[in-house]
Amino acid sequence: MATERPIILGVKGESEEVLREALALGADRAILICDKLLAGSDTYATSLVLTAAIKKECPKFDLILCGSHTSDSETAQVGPQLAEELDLPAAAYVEKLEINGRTLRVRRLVDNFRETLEMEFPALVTVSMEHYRPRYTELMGLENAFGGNGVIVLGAAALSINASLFKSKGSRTKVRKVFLRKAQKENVILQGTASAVVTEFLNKYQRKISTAIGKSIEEKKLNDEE
Amino acid sequence: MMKSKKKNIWVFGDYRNYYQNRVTLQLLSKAVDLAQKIKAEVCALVFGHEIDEWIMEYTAHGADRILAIDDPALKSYSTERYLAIIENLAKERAPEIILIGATDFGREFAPRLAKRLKTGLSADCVGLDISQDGLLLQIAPSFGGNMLAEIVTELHRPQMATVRPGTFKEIPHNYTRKALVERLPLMKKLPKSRVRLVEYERSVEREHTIENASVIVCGGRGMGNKEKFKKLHDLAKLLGGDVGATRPVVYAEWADHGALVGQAGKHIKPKILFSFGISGAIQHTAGLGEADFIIAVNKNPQATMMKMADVAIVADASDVLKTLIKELKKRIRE
Repeated sequence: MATERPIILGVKGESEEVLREALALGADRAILICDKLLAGSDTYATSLVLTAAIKKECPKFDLILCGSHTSDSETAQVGPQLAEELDLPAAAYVEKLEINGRTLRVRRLVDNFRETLEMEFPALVTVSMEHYRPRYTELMGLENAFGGNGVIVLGAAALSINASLFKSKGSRTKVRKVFLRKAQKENVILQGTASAVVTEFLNKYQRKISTAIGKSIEEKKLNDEE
Repeated sequence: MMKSKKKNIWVFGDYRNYYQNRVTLQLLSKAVDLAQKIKAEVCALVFGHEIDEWIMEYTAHGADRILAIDDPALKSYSTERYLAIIENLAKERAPEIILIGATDFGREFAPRLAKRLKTGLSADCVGLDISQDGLLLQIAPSFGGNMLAEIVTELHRPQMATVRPGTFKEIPHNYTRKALVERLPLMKKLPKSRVRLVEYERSVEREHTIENASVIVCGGRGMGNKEKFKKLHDLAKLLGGDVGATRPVVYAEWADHGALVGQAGKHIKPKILFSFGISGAIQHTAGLGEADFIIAVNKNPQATMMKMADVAIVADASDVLKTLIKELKKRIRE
């Protein structure tokens, strides 16, 4: 294992809180990369920036752990692209990992295949959220989070990323337009008590539903019962 | 073999299980549409060992050309080897577009391929089209809000996108169709995979069939609590369907992760979708594909899900659910 305990990287403003939590949970260093130049980066550019930070701050890493996806756009692309940028063996959606010397063994369920994979350090894995849960924070951890070096903030310049480099090597995709998804449905609105709307609904659409479920549904009048 | 002078749209042949194969067929169908607009050729890539079945199937489903590499060395899926092979082929043939299914494999493979080819990639597109200036319009959920983004890759080629299973409809097969099948030798310097496959087996865990269910009952936070949420299973059972859930509900552990419907979960295309207490954030609606008939129940008539519905019932979701179950129990005849 590495002699140094984990460091953690984040890229956006709201990440600071997460980084402090990581310090509290046992990370030795937390680095936040924050720069106007990097705003609106796609995953291609994000993985480039993370690579620059890793090469500068911890070039002798053994293992990079990434969440399988972010909570905003959920593309799940940054981890694999970081692996590619750093030329590492990698596995996504890992459920369990074991380290034996310099060999990493991982288990995962992908496309309904249960796989056990092995690779040598240095390596990268992305971990899906349902299999590992954060441990509780200890008091020592809290001191670490709010004392010590705290979260180190690096700008693009500190990573030798300038505007012209970023223009040619940064984002590949461009967002042309953002819009709300439109509805194109008939949109019948039913209102009233639960029993009134259910009766109205079933009477009106019983055929549609019985066709879909392959069973017949009896029709009843509103006043038939109760 | 003659190389194509036309532009090329490549579809990665992902065939390892039923859903992977279906998404390949769905992408072929979309590729045929796109190809007409930019006068391109649709080309399916098939790598593996003993792959004639897939060559035949992709031909029948719309491929004009197949690039096939059939070799025992490719017997099992390998991200690193496929990367090397496609990198090689792409440099030689410069495809205009590459489409890849957003299966677990594709979601790991496509980002690496895009990076290696130094080009852009949009994940989980819900629509693909050709823009007026001839670019691939990649319509994808974005910004964590209720938004879709139109994304283009202006300056780099190929233009790449992944698409979830169930987003597009495949065209019916036609076994009299012909495609130009190029059987290529395995590249000489195939890299050794640094990731070793120690064991692999088809999972014995129950396959979630939600992607293929014709009736789905989805629930969100508006169900109120876990107990009330569980009632959705009663309705699903009556209708012979499956239960789906939104992200907050899965996070709150009212439902298993396998039931998650949306961008980070399953893509569904049921004939009938019941949506109880769901506001309709894009992370969820991105998974709804083309549900034929949507019934939404929500106290808030302004919810996005209510506007998307064929029938919008303005009422408490849990109350309507209980009454509906009671009524159906009386009325359904097997």
